[in-house]
Parts: sequence; structure tokens; C-alpha cells
Amino acid sequence: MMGRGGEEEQGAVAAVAQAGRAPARDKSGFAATCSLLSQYIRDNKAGLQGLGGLAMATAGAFRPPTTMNLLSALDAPAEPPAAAEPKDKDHDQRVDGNPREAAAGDETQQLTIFYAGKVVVFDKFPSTKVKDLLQVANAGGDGVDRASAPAAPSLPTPSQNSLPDLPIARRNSLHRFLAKRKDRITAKAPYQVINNSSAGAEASKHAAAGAGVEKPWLGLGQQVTVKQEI
Amino acid sequence: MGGEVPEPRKLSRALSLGCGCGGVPEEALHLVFGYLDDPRDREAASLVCRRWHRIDALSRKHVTVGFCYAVEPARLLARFPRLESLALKGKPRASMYGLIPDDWGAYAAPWLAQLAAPLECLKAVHLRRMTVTDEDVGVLVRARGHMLQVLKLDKCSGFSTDALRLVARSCRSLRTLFLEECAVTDKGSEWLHELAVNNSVLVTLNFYMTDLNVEPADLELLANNCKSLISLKMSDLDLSDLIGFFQTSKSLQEFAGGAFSEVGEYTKYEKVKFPPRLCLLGGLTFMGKNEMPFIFPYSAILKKLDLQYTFLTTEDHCQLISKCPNLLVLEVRNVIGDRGLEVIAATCKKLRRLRIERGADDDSGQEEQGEVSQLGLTAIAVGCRQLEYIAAYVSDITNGALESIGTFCKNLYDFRLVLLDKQKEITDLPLDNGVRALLRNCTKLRRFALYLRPGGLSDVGLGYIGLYSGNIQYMLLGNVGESDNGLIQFAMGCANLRKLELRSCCFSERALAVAVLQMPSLRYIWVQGYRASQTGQDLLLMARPYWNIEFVPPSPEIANRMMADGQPCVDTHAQVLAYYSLAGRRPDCPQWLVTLHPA
Repeated sequence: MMGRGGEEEQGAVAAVAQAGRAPARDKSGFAATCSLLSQYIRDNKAGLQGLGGLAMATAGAFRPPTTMNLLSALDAPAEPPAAAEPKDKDHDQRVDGNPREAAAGDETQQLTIFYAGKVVVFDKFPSTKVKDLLQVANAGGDGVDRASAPAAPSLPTPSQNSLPDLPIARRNSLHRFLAKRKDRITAKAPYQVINNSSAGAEASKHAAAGAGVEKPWLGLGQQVTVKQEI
Repeated sequence: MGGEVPEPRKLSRALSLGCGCGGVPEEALHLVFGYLDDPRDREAASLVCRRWHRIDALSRKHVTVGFCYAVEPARLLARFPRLESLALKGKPRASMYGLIPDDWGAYAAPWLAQLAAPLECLKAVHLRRMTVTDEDVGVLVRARGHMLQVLKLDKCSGFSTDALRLVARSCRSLRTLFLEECAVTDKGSEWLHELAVNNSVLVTLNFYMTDLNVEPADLELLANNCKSLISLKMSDLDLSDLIGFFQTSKSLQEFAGGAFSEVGEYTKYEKVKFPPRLCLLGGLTFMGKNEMPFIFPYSAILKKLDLQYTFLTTEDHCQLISKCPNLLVLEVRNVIGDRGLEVIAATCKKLRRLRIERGADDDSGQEEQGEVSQLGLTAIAVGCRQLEYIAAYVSDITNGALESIGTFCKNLYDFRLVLLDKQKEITDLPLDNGVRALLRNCTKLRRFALYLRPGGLSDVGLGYIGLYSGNIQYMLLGNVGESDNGLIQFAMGCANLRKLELRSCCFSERALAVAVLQMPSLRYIWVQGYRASQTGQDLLLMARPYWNIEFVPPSPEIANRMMADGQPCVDTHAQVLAYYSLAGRRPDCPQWLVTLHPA
């Protein structure tokens, strides 16, 4: 089991590297840095929301129209990120993707931030951006908030008659699979403590489903704990 | 020319002449009716005269009720006393997409209560998207259990494994037990043990896409006792636990389910060997590149492959599918990409059904970006000319691709296309001409779904659908058309359309009602997302005898928002279901639903 650990970690790293392939956007260095930070907060928040949504989804098949697309929390940063509000969850959170700028030619290093009891790790963070980041950090948290708000992309509205069209619905079976897959990948990511909301949601989900017996992928969480100790 | 309105299926009354005392003897007519299988032929024959009606009623063996509220159970069962097989559908299809609340209705109880005494021949029951309780199953088992050969609870909810135990104990002639995608309360795996102990004739067992936990030993016991077991579709049990089952069940031809719960641990799965005749394969949840070679020895004989729940990348799909030249059915997610579709086109010349589902669309990068576009679809159209069913979620599309499908896929019976909303620029919109070409050329088309985005299909295109969809019986349209005029143009065609679903369209309530009145065969319409009024008053324009209208009012927040032209906004909550019913208004509407009827 332990012998395979390396391989699994590699897999997780590959997943993270892929996460980095978000479309690059033209932004000033400052704006880019701010959006990195705000994205972290957004991702973090969205992750938590997503898990809440999962628990709800298993309670009954019905997902009310307003939250019909559970993944919309990830796509639509409609509400400004509440940057200064740390979540009450006291766990480390691995941020999967962010490095929108990573494709740029400059030298990249891993960046680790400790903030409000959370550990954030960015793979391949461009060295040129570090200066910007420090500048932002010196300016104080409030500055971050205000600067990041306008950087959040606004939702494109359908041109025609500006009709609010419904999100394309997803088949229940596929929806469940993608949720399971997401849990699995989250569980495999390094830098994560076992007793986090992900595992909690998973457990409550099974309780809700009346499943009683643990699903095999829950076991992966335990391997992660071992890694954590290393 | 294809796609135009066919002759109505109607028999002349003159047929009945000469059937009297000196005419065709009753026995002969019975024999002839025995060869009538198509329900629409049956319908036509039953309308010739009273005698034919009676003979049809006594000789009809199977009935599908497309909507459980369309007729009273007692009335249907009294007409067909020798029914052997009954299929019932409940909640709207949208419930499969999480769009219908659990308390919507479609209770099986009134139906199952009627299946008791008078129906001496009934041996197959199929309930789809219905609410079934343990008590309901109990009633059915007590009445028909000794005879029951087929029990299909298909995407149903509301029952527990207690009901399954009862079925396992009592229905010893059961050949098919089908529970796919049911929400079953799991009180333990004894039901499977009892089934294995009590049944020796089971052919098909399906509890795919359920959360039911079972013991591998019980599956092995089942395989030992039921030598005729041909198909097993099951929940996500680890595949390494199924080694014994696969060794035992020599006749198995279909398997779906199972999981590679420890990806990377492929040595663990080395001993998994499928039975020799297995040719239909699916599930294999979480299968990744390392586990994929496990299929290779069987790939050449595979006729069906479902990879929707695997972790395979575009490249993996290409590698695997290139080894499967005999596939008839293939189901994948769009991670397969255009490259994968090109491999299908080059390899799978016999393919009949292709489903390309939608993967994750968030940016968290868990999935390799595989997108399907006009390139892949065109390749498929040219390469796989036997296709009868195509359902695809595409990221980009052109008129040319649709024209190609029309040109090459002459056997197409069912075509469904959803244009995903992530990519901003679509190469070639509107799709008016492509849709026209496809409908005109695919003359066998009976089902058609087109879900686009605003601007994806103009009013002219919508008119084309009406004009060239003469044979189509079921249609789903989303985000199509520009105005009410388009909807009316559409409705002027559609001579044989029986069931229509509309979602997220800009049509007004009044136009919907007027359109419904134009479609002569329409018996069921479901709409979500349109310019709804607060009370649904304009829907009353379509009020007529036997036509039930159920309305979910728009959300209060959006109630007072108007478009620039003074029309209400498209409301995502507003929902309409209208259908013909001989049963009158249904008694079990949830409170949030309003039934509309003239004062």
C-alpha cells in the first residue's frame, strides 16, 4: 500500500498541473496577483458550497432550479469574494489550480502561503509575481478586497433579449459520478487533513443514503493522513 | 420526399363488412390479430368496428401507458383482461435531470392495487419514474407473485430492500429483476441472498446505478443456482471481489457496474477474468489507463461498451476503441474528444448507437479537456453509416456537420444534440439550414432533441422543424427560436408529434397555448422556462375536454420584472405540464402545483 503512495501522489500532481491550464488572460501583474488571491478564496468557498450541495443532492433527487447546476458555484463568481472572512472550518486547504500565468516564460517556484489558519500551495508561481504579491500583502487586507472585486470577471449575459436562460441540466447518474470523482480526487490531493469537510460530507452523505457500509474510496483518505505525517 | 407528413394510419370501416355471419370467422380474425404487434396498428384496427375492437381487446398482450395519469387503471385493465405485460411511465423525463421534486406524484399504488384478481395472464410489470412503496410491492406480489416473470422498477423511488426480500422469497418464476437507478433504502443485502437461494431461473438482474451494497458470496451463489443468468448490472462493488462470480457464471453475456476502487493497484485486478461469452460491458467505475488493458482480451468481441464512468483520457479512449471493431453501442463522455470520434469512425463500422455525455464543466482541471465538435460529428457521420441513435453534447457545431449526418446516416431513428454553453463563440449559427437538411434526409427519424443557445436557431429554423418533422413523435427543444411567431410556425407542422418538451425558450404563455391547439397528435407537453404569467391565465386558451393543465407559478422574485417590450421575463421556475387524460384531474397534486381548468 505504502509502496504505491508515490504513484498516487504523482497522479495527484498531474491533476494539479492540468488544473493550471486555465485560459490565460491579459491583465496587469497587479490585477493578476489580486485575482489569484481572490480565486483562491473563491475556490475555497466554492469547494465548501459544492460539498454542501452534495449532501443536499443525496437527500432527494430534486435540486431546486436556483441551485440546479451545483457546479455553477465554481463557474459564476457573481458574488464578490468575502476575502477577509475566514471560513469556520479549521483545516488546511489545498488549492488545486490557479497559475493562470504559469505559461509565461519566467522562472517559477512553488509558493506556499499560510493565511487564516489555511495553507495554500501554488505550483509554478512566477518569480516576477512574488514582488507584486508582497506589495499587495504590505498594503493590507482591505486593499486586497477592494482591488480584487473589480478583477472578478462578470458573467456574460446572453445577447438575445437578455433572457436568463436555464443552466443545462445534467443526468442524475452522471451528476452522481462526477461528484464521486470530485471527492475521490480531493481525497487524493496532498496537503490535506483527513478530518476535513470533504470527508465529513462524504460520511454524512452515506448516512443520508442509508448506505451504512463505507464506500471503498473513503479509504483513500486514510492514506492521505499517512502522507501528512511523513 | 422525406420528413414530410405521412399518410395517417387509418383503416376503413369497409374492412368489417363481410365479417358478419357468413364472413371471416372469429377464429381467423383472432389469428390475424396475433400478428399485429405495433401498438399503432392495433389502435387503427381497434377503431374499425365493435367486433374488431373486442377482438383486439381480448388479444392485446402488451400495453405501454406513456403517462400514468392519462387513464384510470380500472378502465384500462377492464378493456384488456388478458394482458400479459404492462408498462407505465410516471414523472416527466426532467426528473432524470433533478428538475422535478420528489413529491411530484406518479404513485404506483392505484395501479398495483388493480393488478390483482381479474388479470389472470399478467406476468410482466414495468414501472418507470414512479413512486413505489414497500406496501405497493407487497400488494403486487400477493396478487401476481406466483406468475410474475418480469419486474422492472426503473428509476423509481420510495421502497426499501424489504420489498426486494419479499420479491426474492415469493416470485420464484422471476426471469428479470430490474432496479436501475432506483433510490432504494438499503436495509442489508439479505434480499440478494434470498434471491440466490430461492430462484433458479433468473436471466437478468439489474441494480446498476443504485447504492445497494451486496455480498460477493451471494453473487457467486446466484451464479451457481441460476445457470441461465445472462445479464448482471450492479452497483459499485470492487471488481476484485467479483473474481469468483465471473468464474462461476459461464453464460454471462452482459456485465455493467463494479469499480476499480483502488486505481494504480492493477496487480489487484490481474485475476479478474470475464466469462467467455461476455460481449456487453459497462460501468467499470474509475477505470484508468492502468486498468484498461484488462479489457483488451475481450475487445474484439465487444458489442456494447459504456465508458461514461471511467477515468480514461482522450488518448486512452483512442487506444481502447481502436481494438473494438464490432461495437454496436458505445457510450462515453465528451472527454473522448474529436480525436476519439475519428477513431470510432475508422473502427466501428457497425455502430448503431452512440451517446456522448457531458463531462465536468468546472475549471478545477480534474478532467482532460476533451471537446466534441463538428469535426468529430462529421467524421462519425461519414464513418458510421449504420447509426440509428446519436446523442451528443457538443462544444461547437456547424450546419455542415448536421448536413453530413443527414447525407450519410439514413437509418437514424433518434437524434439528440445539446450545444454546451461554455464556449463563447460558435462557428456557425444559426443552424437553420443544417437542421432542415438533417430532418429532410433522415426519414426514419422518430425522436429528435435540439438544445442550443439563444441565437442557435431562428424562427425560420423552427418553422423548418415543423415542416420536415412529419414522422417525429417525440421532441425536446431548448433555447430555440426568436419569437412567438417561430413557435406558431413550428406548430403548424408536427402532424404526428405526440410528446413535446420545451425548455428555456422565449415564448409567451399565450403562444404556447395557441401552439398546442395547432398540433393534432399532441397528447403531452412539458415546458420549463418561458414568459409565464403569475396565474397561468393565458394557458386556459388551450383548455378543452380531457385536457389537463398543471402549472407551477413563476418565482415571486421575478414576478414583476418585465422585458423592454412589456412581456414578462423568462422565468426558470415556471413549469407547465398538459396532457390528455380520460381520468380527469389527478387527486394527488402536491401543493406547489396548480391545476388550471375553465371556471
